[in-house]
Amino acid sequence: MSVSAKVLTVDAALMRGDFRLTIDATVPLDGCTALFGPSGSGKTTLLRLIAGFDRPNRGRIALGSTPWCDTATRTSVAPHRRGVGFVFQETRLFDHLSVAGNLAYADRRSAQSAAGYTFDDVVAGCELERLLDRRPASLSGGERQRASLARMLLARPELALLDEPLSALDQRRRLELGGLIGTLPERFGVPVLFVSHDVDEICRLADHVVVLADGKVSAIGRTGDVLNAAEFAATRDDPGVVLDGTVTDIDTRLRLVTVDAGGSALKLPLIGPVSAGTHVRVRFRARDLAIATQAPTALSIRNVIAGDITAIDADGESAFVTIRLAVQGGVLAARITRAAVEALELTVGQHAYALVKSASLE
Amino acid sequence: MTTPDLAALVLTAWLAFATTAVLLVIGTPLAWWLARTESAGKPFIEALVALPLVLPPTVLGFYLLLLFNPGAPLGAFWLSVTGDTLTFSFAGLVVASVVYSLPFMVQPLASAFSSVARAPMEAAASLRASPLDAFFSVAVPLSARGFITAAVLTFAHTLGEFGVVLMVGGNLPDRTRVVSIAIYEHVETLAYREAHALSAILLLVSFVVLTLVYAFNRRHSVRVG
Repeated sequence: MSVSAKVLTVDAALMRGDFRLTIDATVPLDGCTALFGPSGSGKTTLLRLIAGFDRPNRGRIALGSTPWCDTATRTSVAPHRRGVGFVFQETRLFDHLSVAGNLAYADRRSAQSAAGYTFDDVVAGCELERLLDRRPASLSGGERQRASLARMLLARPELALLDEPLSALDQRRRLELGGLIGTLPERFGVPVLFVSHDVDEICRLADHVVVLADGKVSAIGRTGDVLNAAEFAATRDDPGVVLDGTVTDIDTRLRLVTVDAGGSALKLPLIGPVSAGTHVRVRFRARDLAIATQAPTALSIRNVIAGDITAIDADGESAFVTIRLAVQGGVLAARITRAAVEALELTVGQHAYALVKSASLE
Repeated sequence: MTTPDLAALVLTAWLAFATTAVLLVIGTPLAWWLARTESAGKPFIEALVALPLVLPPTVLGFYLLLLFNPGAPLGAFWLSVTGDTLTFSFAGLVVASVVYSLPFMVQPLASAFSSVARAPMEAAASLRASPLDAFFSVAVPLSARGFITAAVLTFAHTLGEFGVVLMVGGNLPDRTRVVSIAIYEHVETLAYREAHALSAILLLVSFVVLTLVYAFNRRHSVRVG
């Protein structure tokens, strides 16, 4: 199923007490888009503006050429007519209905819609077969989120808004549900805009990222580009570098996945279910990379990537420096000591090897 | 039990049913508005709704009597439409009881609505339900306990009405002679046996009804009064 690459245009301001949200952005609705930022940066408020639960003091919100809200012409499309699905942080399942009743509530009201999937497709996709007769109050956190996601899908929305869908879950459930969310655009043809403040999560799920800070958009673009940008790195403690790649081989005996990242072949541990040809992002944290001036032998590290040093940046007054190494497919960053730089006599332009102690397949 | 006393019991039951039915229709939108509004006029409306709780029934009855008088606009309008007066009539009793029991319907309902007025309504809207659809399919079922509490309290409160009825309805057999009036009359004429019978029935019904409400709301408190 292809995803319609519509754009969401938001040019709006909202004042609430001391908080001020001023958004002027065009968000491509293609696959999964993450809305990233610290708490209090306005992520949830922006989602609520898009859904129509809150109105901006001034501005315009439109999906493609359809205006949803325009304070200049005093128009506002009611939330139930926007065709926007919303998964709330606290799920908001209806307690007076069973899980099946909650899903049917959405299904009945969207049956005329053109989306080509059925009640059963969604139940199977969200693995709810054995929970249908249960009451929401008796479900675990992960089950509630799955039911809530399924209910949203059955409203057959043109855009799915997810407010921190994974924040209340433990690590294992996060991976499971995250995997499901990542496949929504492809399986159900619905673009996803989700709120997150977890870089791992964004790296794994998002094709695009919108970064919010203090009520403003501070960056927007493809996930790799945004996360690798120096301005983004400066605000985080070792956010890592992201390389786009494609799975070329899966070795189930050694539990390894081979990923081709722009010409560099990487061997990574096999965690979740992946298939050959899948597009993936590989994330390298600077502290997990070491540098060698010669191709090492007899080493436990499986991933050695050759490249050229493009920069050596001192890390404040600390003992560390960050080496930037241009490799095929991108620029890696390695955090090593000043002492190592002197001992190896590293200079900009020099050929070197990045030893990857660990990298995560996202 | 004498026939007039039985008639008084039936009339009282009818009055309580009619009042509860009318208040469900009027009180529900009013309570919904109170639960959702951010209007500056909210305290004013809340005070109006609560007034019958604190006003002596005779004061309320006195003003209603003035309004119901065929010389007043409301009384004249009613007379021209129905051919009957509001004073000293069953219809007049229903209208008076609706005013008198208003807080017993609106306050429990508004309290129940306040917890379902925002979050579940937004969820319903995100599932393509219009506000009216969402009200009936989500807010009402989620407030079922509030509805039952409000209806039972309104019913029970109307059963025991005295002062307002006396002011606007008087004591006309089969028309305005409700149980509380009948008891008063029996006591005045020293017919204690009849007074005992009617009083005991009223006491028992009220006690059973309230016990049911509190048992029902044991785990789910609804603010009352």
